[in-house]
Amino acid sequence: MIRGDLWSASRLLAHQLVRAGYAFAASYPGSPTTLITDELAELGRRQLIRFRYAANEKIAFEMAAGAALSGARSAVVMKHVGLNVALDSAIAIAYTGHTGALLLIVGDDPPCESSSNQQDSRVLARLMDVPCLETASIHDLGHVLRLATALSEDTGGLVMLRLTTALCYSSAFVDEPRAEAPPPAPALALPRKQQRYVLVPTNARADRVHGLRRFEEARACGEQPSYLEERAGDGSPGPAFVVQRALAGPFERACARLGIDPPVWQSRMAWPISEGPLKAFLARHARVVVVEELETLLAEQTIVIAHRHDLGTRVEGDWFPPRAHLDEELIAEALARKLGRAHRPPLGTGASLPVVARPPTFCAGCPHTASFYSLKRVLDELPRRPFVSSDVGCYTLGAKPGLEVGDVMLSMGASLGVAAGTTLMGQETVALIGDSTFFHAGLPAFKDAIAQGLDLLVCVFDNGGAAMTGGPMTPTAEGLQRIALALGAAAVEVVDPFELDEMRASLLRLIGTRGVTMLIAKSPCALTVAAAPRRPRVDLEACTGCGSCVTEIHCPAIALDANKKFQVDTQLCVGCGLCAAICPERALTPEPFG
Amino acid sequence: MSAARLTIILRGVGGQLLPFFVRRLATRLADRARSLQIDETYGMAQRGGAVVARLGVELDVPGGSGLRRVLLGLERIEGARGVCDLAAGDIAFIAEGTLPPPGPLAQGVAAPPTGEELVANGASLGVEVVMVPASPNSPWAVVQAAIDRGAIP
Repeated sequence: MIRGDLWSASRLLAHQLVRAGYAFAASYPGSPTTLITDELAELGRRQLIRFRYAANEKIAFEMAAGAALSGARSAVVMKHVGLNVALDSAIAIAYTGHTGALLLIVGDDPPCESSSNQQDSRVLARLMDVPCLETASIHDLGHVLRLATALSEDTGGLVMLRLTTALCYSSAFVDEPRAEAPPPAPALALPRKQQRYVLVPTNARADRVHGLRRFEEARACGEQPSYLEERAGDGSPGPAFVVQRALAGPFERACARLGIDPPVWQSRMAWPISEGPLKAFLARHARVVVVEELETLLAEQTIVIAHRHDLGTRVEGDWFPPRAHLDEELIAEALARKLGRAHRPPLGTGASLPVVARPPTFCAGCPHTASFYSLKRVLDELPRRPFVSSDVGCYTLGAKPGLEVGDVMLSMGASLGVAAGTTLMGQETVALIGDSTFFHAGLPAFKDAIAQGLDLLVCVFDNGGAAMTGGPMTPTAEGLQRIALALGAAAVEVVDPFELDEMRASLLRLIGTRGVTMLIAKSPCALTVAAAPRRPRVDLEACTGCGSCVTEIHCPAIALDANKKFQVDTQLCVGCGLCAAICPERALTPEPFG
Repeated sequence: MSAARLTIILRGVGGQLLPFFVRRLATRLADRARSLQIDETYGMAQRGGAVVARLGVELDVPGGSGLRRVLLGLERIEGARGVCDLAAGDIAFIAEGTLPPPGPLAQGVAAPPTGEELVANGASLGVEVVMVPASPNSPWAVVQAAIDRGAIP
């Protein structure tokens, strides 16, 4: 019988951090780690941990590094692409080391469900020469956290805890208590006058030696039994398996479905490889299959170890799609095919009757809907449509079919740098960016565009926070306006995007102004405001069924009924009134509801 | 006592309380389970996006073995999409009601599969499809239908 409470892995990890004595944590939010930071923020409000959202991942990392340099146990949480932003300081601290434990919690997104790439953070751990730990499941999480904390403190070095989308969004019954008390205050001791922390070249060269020594200590730790899981299997003929720890759950379930019990070797130390124990395992098996997703780090090292020690083990690497995200179904299918086992796979996408896609969309009442309605109309009316450089946030959806306002989107804050490049090439350009993203990574490029003397309109969608990933607040539009003017913007206007005439006039005015201009479309995220007590009522006589209400604003609450007349889902509708404002027949009237 | 695996797949639209329902089912099955795990896919599903949750349960049953899948489509379009998650011999409970996404359905230039079409398609694949007379605003009716039928213990 199952015991304990139903925990989300992400929320459990937040409580485990507090119970493990972590005094400080910082983050810039991003899926799949948003539930961790959401819970850390709540624990912070209860004063069980000092938790802070930062303007970007680099600052979050540096805050956590500062706490660790002070002697506290400290953690920083980010999604995988955020680690690219933090990497400069992360590599630096891997050189210097620190006093307290410093845990880098990274959420990778192998299925690419809510990210711009499928980057594998194990490779960055390798680049940084820091150990990377992985967990098999929510039940393994507490053990791995204890290993990571001890490893960081024992070696005095940074440790990465790599999570995945599957782990972060999993839940199960776990018999662990909630964090109820803050950890004891750490004995703080800031390092002073120690050359190792000042990374000028002379010190960096010396620190490199110390960093590699810490790495070798970590490698030795990874060979201890507490890191390893090995199963002898039932003795049936067939290959043995070296399984990436993050895939232990799906692999085990796939084996159970097929009724097989092969020899299996796993290590919670994803990097560096636990060479001694793996060598011993390989020496006992003539055929080994590596089960690993994304990068082939484990497979390559397994082959190297087999060759280096002349073990004669055949390492087979063609069982799974290369560099793919693996789940239980893919693993079960490959095992069944290669082992000749009966298998009852799902029917697959071809079995479903054709249905329309349901891509992500703006929420009903989203101010971005109003902004893009005006933007699209103004841009389409210009003699030569400007190039539109977009950015990371809900407003990226403006590029979707039907709106198509957004020609490029690379990474956080990149809209402004790309826009500078296209503008310098003579292409009239409009840059789109959110308020949170502007302060994350857009501000330096904005200053640069002004310094370069460009003619560029920057549209800032200011909904009061990082709405897509948890909602920590950023400075208000008034603050943004003052900053832009202080940096030398030629003109800055703040507009409510639901005021369509004002929005249109402002866009036309700023597009025609020389220099770098900024339009701040300011209206709170629809998820943070109460619904208005009104819903649109349709005058069926006046409604001609032209469909403008569904084709122009793509609101998820609106559809045409069987008679091609306007209909609204009153549960989804929040009464923003945009559909009534754009109806060419004036057939919609906002009326009291409920 | 041997174990049988049951995977309950819930598919719906953001706002249909799907995370709440999957937790209620997990609590319901906890006493009879050897192991249990929920996996969720949110995407950008604050409102109006597709949501998927899977509840995998290893149940103690006399002579039990193998894997059984049950699809709970809390809305007809997402239910129709989810039939691909099943195998021959599995069962689906799908709400009659729809929440059309912005695009061709909302514009009235396309139509989702009807209940009859879903039942016939399922039959051709060896999957039993049970249409539940439920609106998207009363999605628990789909879960209850699966419980009443005995597809969920």
